[in-house]
Amino acid sequence: MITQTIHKETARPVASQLCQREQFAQQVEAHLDRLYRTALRLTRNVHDAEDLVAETVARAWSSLDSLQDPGRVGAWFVRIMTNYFISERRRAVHRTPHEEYIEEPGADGSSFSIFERLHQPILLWWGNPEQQFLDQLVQEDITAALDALPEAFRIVIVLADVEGMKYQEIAETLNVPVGTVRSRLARARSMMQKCLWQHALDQGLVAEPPNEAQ
Amino acid sequence: MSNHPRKLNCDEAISLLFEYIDNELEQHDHDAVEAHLEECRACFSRMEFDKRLQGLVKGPGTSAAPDELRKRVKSILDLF
Repeated sequence: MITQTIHKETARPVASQLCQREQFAQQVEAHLDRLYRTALRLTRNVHDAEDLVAETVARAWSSLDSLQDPGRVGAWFVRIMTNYFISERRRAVHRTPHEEYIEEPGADGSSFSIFERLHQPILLWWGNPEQQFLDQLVQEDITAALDALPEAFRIVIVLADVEGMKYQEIAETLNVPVGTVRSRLARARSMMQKCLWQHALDQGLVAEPPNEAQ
Repeated sequence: MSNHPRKLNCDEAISLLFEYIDNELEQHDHDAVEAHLEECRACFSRMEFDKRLQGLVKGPGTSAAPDELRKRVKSILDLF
């Protein structure tokens, strides 16, 4: 899916180029695990994640001049990675129209909260239901719920919760208004909680009240 | 103008909860949610739950880049 591009070196004085190259290599090394983790969350598989990281490194080097704040190299790498990932996905979606890259609001506009479900009066719990629920979740459940999200929603979750970016940074990275980040993130979290809840129901970890059963 | 945070009901506080957890609220809204959470155990528990869930999304942080990728990146850097 992703092809790695090595861009032609722009003319830089040799000495400063060597110095830059060393510093760049150090920054790549320092951020490699983080980039790989984020790439895994974005691509959902190991091979595409490795391709994405490799392409990000090549693109970052060729656009070194766009690094405005050397103290925020990590966020700059992630921005390059995310933009490239999105552009590649858009191209792929173009080729396969049934795959969606949609931003429309939710069908019913309502939000879903596991906490609310756990605290419905009809459910009887001993102890602390939300604690029990969290204790039963394993990392694979979270990954599956995240992977099940449509792309546009998975990306905001990755940038906010995995990368810890501020809303403004996410907006700049995705080139959308901050309000869009807020609403998309809220919906993404709601969808994710709904998915986790369904998983918990399927696994028999929780029971749907009779009047809610579908 | 009063220095006391404005009073929120539970629905209002819940509508701001994600942004509160993300530390993205304006100070007056942040203070208002905080004041509500200090008084409302249910909303405080919900905030704690959502916060822990977000923490799980971040993951254990143990996904180290594989050696294959390290070698590949090094070979890219050698081209520069």
